[in-house]
Order: sequence, then structure tokens, then C-alpha cells
Amino acid sequence: MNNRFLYILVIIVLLAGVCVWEQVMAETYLSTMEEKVYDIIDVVEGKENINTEEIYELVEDMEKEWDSYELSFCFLVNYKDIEDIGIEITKMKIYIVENALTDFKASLAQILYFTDSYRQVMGIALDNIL
Amino acid sequence: MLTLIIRATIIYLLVLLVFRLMGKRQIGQMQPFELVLTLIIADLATIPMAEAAVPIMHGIVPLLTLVVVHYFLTIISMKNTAVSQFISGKPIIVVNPNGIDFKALQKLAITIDDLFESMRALGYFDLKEIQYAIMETNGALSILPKSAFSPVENRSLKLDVEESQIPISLVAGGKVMKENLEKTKLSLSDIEEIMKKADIESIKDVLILSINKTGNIYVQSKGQPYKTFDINYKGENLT
Repeated sequence: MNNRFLYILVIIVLLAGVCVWEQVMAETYLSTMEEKVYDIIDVVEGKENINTEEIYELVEDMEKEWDSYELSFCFLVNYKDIEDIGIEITKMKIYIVENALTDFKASLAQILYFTDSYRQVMGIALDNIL
Repeated sequence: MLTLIIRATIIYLLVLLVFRLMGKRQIGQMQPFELVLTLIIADLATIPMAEAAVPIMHGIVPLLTLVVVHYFLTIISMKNTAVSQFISGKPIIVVNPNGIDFKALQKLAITIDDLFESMRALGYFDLKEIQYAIMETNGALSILPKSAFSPVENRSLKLDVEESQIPISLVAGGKVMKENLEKTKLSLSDIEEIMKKADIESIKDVLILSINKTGNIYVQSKGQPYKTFDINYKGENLT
């Protein structure tokens, strides 16, 4: 086994590691985000006043979580491609203060849409390859 | 800005590694696919270097992938002639004893002017001098001249000549090459002796000082023409 082959072997392992890391990270983080959105949807359901501490805390918790995920995603994805969720969360905090229920729900739907599209972009699929 | 500096350094080191892993071929020796690969590598390297929003992994992963693919393609090419010919093509005879093979030129998409240009570059100005001209897979032309136009060799003249020697550098750029000095079993005082003979005062002034197996010295100091002379040296230790 020559040196060059060893280097190539290390590179292959490294590339495989990056691929697995990306898949696991995308699946875990995006699923967690979706769960958090559904939790908020459950809490908001049937309420007319969203300007409550409980909802604000849930959104803040989601923001903290997303910030940490975003840091990891930045290693693999263009930052500009994943900033939408952060923007929506910031908007949601304003909607809570203004009690804008429709806009708040729209933002939740947007986040679900973004998580779904990120998963599609990051996943290994023929349409992504082509 | 610091981010860009660090990124540029990382990518530079990575590209160095990539080229080392690809081998030592020069641009002129590259097969067409290797040249394309080099251009792609250069292009890939610039993306994460210039744009801070693009993760450095977007440069690293494709670069390393290309290295791996190239490695396996080279291995397969070395083991399988058919694959090798598919990737690199095969040498084509463009001039044979009957003259220019026009069909071969058409196949290679080169004009007669291109052929003459390559011939002239190799020192052949007349088609009559050429027995065979072969277009190699890397685009270089190889020529086998007719016997009447072949360069005369010492062997043909039955001359008894000494084997050529590779000179060993003892001083380069004002610095003594200690490893080479040990090989020749010469000492610093020997170098000083040689310098005295060459009218050079300080080692720092020496641009190059080399010796071959027969004890022939080639020495040049900075800004001066070179000098060459023989010293009493048997060179048993030179390898």
C-alpha cells in the first residue's frame, strides 16, 4: 500500500464522513424545528390573543435552538440559503407583541415550508443531482 | 478580512496537496482530461476564497472528490489499455514514409500548417528529413528522422568518450550544501581553496559552485561570469 493510496483512503473516509454528517444533521435539526413549530401551532390553536409569555418563550426557545443549528449548518450550506428561518422567527416575535395572529400563523407555515425545502435541497435525490 | 485570509491559506494548502497527489506532470505533458481537471480545480478553489457566505466545504469537498476520481481513473487507465485509450486517445502517425497522412490530420483536426509548426519546433524544416512523425496523446509531436538525416552519434564514429557526469552543487546562493559536501567527502577548507583559486572572497558571494566526478569545478560569483577549472579530485565518493 503506497502513500498516495493512504491519502486517497483518508480523503474517501473524510468525504463519507461529511456526507453522513450532513444527512444526520439535516434530518435531526430540521425535524426538531418542525416539532417546535407544531408545538407552537398546538398552543396557538383556538387562541385569539397570542401576546402571552408562554408563546413568546416558545418562540424564543425556537430561536435559540435555530441559532445553534444555523452555526452547524454554516459549515455545509451557504449562509444566505438558510437565513430565511431566522428572519421568520424574528418577525414572529414582533407579531406576538402586535398580536398579529394571521401573520404569526403565516410565519409558522413559512418555517415549515423552509424546513421542507432545506431537507429536499440537502438530501441525496436524483433531482438534486441533476 | 481575517476570515478571507484564513480561507485563502487553507484553500492554497489544499490545492498544493491536490496537485501533489495528482503527480508531477508539467503542463505540456498533461493529457487533455488532466488539463481540464486543473482548470476545474483552479475554478473551484476561487469560489470559497472570494465569497465569505459560501462554506469552505463547498470548495474542499469537490476538490477532494476530483482527486479521488482522478486517482481511480489513473489506476484503471494504467491497468486497462482500452480505458486508457478511451480517456487519453492513442498516438497517431501523421507522417509515414509515403508522406503526410491526410486522413490522420483530419482525424486529429490539425492543419498542415500546425504540423509544419510542430516539425519546425523540433528542428525539422523539410518533410524529406522525416521517416515518421507521430502525434502523441498529449498533443506533442515525436519525429523519427530518416537515417540520412539522423544526428551523428559517438557510437557511430566509434569514439571512446567518458560517461557524462551529474555535477553536485556544493554552494548555492551563498549557502554551503552540507549534505552534498558530505557526499563528496570534501571539507569547508577545500571550498575555501577553490574560492581562492576562483578569486572569490566570501562564500556569500558565490552564486553556484559545483563539482563533478572528474574534479571539474564550475563556479560563478554574483554579478561575475562563471569560471571552470579542474582540481585534484578523484571523485570515488560521488554517486
